[in-house]
Amino acid sequence: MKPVSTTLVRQPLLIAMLSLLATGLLTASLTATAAAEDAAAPTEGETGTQGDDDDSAAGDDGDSAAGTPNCEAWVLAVAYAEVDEEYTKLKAGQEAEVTWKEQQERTLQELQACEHQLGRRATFYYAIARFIRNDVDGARTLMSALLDFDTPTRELKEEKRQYEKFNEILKENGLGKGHDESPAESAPVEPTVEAPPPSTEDKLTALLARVEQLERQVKGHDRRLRGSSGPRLTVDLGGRLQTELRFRLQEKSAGQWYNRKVLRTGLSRAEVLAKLKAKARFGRFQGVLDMDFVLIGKHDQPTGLETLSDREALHPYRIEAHSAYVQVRDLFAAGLDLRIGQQLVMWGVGDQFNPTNNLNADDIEDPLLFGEQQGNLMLRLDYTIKDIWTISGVLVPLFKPALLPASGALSTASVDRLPFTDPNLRYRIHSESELSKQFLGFPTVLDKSIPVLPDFGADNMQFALRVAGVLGGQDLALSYYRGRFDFPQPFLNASTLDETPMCEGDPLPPFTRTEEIGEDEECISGLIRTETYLGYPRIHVLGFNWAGEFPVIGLGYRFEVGVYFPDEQRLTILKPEVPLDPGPPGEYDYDLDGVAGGEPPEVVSGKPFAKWTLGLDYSIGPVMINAQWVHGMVDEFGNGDFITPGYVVRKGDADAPILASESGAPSLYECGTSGNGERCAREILRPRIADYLVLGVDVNFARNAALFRLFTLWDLGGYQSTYWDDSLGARVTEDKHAFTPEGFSAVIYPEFQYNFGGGFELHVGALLQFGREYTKFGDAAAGGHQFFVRARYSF
Amino acid sequence: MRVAATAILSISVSLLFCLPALAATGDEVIKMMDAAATRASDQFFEYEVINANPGKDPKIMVLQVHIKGDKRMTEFLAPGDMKGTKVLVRSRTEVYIYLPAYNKVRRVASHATKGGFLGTTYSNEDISTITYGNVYAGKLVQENEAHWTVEATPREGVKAMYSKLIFSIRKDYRHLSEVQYFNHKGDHIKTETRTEYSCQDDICNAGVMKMVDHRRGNASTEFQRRDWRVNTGVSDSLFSKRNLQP
Repeated sequence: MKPVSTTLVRQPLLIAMLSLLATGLLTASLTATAAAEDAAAPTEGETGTQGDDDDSAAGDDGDSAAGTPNCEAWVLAVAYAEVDEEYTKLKAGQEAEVTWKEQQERTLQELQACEHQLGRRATFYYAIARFIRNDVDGARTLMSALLDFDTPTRELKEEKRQYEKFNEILKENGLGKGHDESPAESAPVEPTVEAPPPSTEDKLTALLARVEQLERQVKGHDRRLRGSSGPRLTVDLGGRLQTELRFRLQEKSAGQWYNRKVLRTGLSRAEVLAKLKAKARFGRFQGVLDMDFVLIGKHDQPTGLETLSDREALHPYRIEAHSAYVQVRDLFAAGLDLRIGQQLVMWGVGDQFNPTNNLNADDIEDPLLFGEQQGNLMLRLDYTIKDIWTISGVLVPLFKPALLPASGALSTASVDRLPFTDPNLRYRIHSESELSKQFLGFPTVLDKSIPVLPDFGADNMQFALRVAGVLGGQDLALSYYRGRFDFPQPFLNASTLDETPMCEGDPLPPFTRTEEIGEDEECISGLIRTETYLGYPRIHVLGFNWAGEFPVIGLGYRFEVGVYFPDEQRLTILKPEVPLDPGPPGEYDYDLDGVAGGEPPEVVSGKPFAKWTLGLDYSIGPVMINAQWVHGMVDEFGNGDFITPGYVVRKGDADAPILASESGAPSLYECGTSGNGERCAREILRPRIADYLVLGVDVNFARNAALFRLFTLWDLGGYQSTYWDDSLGARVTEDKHAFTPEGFSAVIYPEFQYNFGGGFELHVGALLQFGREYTKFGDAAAGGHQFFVRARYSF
Repeated sequence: MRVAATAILSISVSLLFCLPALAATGDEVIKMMDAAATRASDQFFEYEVINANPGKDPKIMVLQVHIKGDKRMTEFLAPGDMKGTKVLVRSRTEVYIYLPAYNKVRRVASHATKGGFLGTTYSNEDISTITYGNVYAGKLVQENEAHWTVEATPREGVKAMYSKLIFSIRKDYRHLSEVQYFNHKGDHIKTETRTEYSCQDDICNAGVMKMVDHRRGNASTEFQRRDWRVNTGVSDSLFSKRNLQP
């Protein structure tokens, strides 16, 4: 450092510092700040790393060289020019207006505006500014020195202003002064006339030494920051380990003795789940992984000795990839984000019941995790405007079907649940089946249900568009989806005749019967075995979401509606040669014109229908209440609800004596051979799209460590019983309302959770399902009552 | 989050010049305190939150929060069952939560913010209150060299969670050192202390905030600051739903 001018010492210290710092800084900034920094002396502890750091910093300035505005020089010029102006004013003896705060903010704004161009250098400047401001000890030291210099006659206000200016100097100093330029050389200093008191000069020298020391610290800090202020790879890991045991509390079965399917009591699920969540980010790029590895405790019966050597058979496991994607933010334009890979797109605002969540297939394999969806490969583009409105487009190249619960297999035993929308055809088939079973001893069974997934191809890709934002405090979204319904619908039934007789008491193979057939024992001549092929109808869905809260009371509401426009689906029936059936084997004669074939019957109407969820939630102290009106459960599909008639069959048969009686009452023979089963068939129906009331209560206690949750689901759809009334000579319909024993169906799901802290939780609960066997939740396929205990550690 | 409990005057006044405090009314003191609390254009905090119940092991949470004006973005880093959970407050009635377990952003109605804050002794309102003057009127009840003591009661026609607050305000920082909370029956139910102040430029903040709930056997929650940055220049776009999802 060069000796300080004695003239400066007579001036207020502020002027001295400004002259020392500002002049040099302005020059440096307008020319080549990076070069000046390169020339800076290494700080203690920084020797040997300076050159590398500075090289990397210079490399960041490439944008300026490319012809775009030089943000760096411009911003620095703005900052330093004001300092220079202050200096000039003071030098001229004018009263300077201190606007450091405004200037600081403006400069930071300029830097922010230039952030895209400056990249990590902008961050570097922010960091330097912070460093300077954070150095309270240094500030105290310097300020004390300043006060020592000043005469005690100064007004306090002026002292304060000087301190503010001092802060300004520190800030400007942090914005990259070149060290190699001597302040004394660059300052416009008048020749000394008389020597200052030595003690003052010593103080000033010490002060400037301190300034330089600070500058070196800034430089060192700067280099460290530059080494770390650019895009860095950050990796965040987490996950959980979870063990769950589940027990079925009641046996459930469906079908007759020749096709019975049973869910036994006892252990129904035993799993150990290890979840790994990882997020790696590098600047605007990030990759996200969310995967479950699940050890399945239960395994199937060994099919042979070789199974005992099959580790995977005895120790089954599965892997679920909920998310595995890469994302780029601000791609080509600010607010434009691209995400590619396995991901979940959950647009619906409802709680667990989301008719507008159609991009990912539903996952109801585990009924306790109702509302889950499966990850799928997607390409998603979001453009966010003004941080409020987002336009999204999603392309899903591969179709995934819904995952169904294991208990769902029991539904295949219910062959009486004919899917046709035409009731007359159903009556006819009920009668034919019953006649075949009772008169000929050939009941119908469903041997196989074979889902047929859409081919991979451009015409089977799904896509969706959405506009979402906030308007008047309301969250609003409009969406459109084109794809497929993920629950299967039948399109082909192929039956064969198996003429192997069997009796109820027959032992299972390889044993053969040695006992006599009992008197009351039921026997059959064989089976009409059916294979059903299932498809996934195309749909368009227009969606609307709305969420907000009622003012004052803070009651939250959420409304979600999806209007579905399905493609019509028809079911082709191929029948075997059956005694009493005059037709040849092959396609069913749908229109009774004596010629096989005709237009196959409809199973999904092309008429549009709507599904919605209207929810309210409110808290009273530690109690949170959630109520929802759900119009259409996730698996329900097709036109027909409380507004427009349309039903599904929950139970069906034909009830009549086989042969005609003298009373003239209908006979099964007549119904089953005439093509008109209306006088024999009985059915229990419910709307295709039914209504449900969801009521949930959470009670937190033990300072939020404990939670008691009661979730209930009430089937409000009701049921209808239809049959032929011979006295009236017409079919009649009886309503079985939701709160009658015949129409009642509900789920009660109590759960207790305790959080021990540190990520440890214990959950205990039960899923209780009530209702007759034909109802939604009393159905054997729903799985019956279950009890569970779950331990979880999250990290 | 009450992160921004930042009553401050400039360092120039508070640390260096140590001006003698002029006589002020309670409202004026609260006004000074509020002005100082909103001085930063934005702030970032990382806290370790220690929740201690008598006779039980303390539970620890770690969270980060960005604040800019009325907007806040909070992310939980620990424990594992809360990790990744984010809460975005855009206004008093526009609150969103991202729950990693559901992979979904959910709007939260304001009723949910009326209860306790995650089992701590702080209520959501305690946590989110940055300024007091709009709700409470102050009366200066005591003054010494270091502190003002102000009794604050709800302004007429304004709904407040507490019937009375007694502030002890440091003169050097213009910042709270203690708050006593009284319920509508007039019972002294909670006491909050704020200590270990430090300053960045003219903005100061307590390094430790501790709330003791006298109704729960003096159960306490302590926010220990692990990181603090002011005027980071964070963009408004951070406080958007876009940034809630990973």
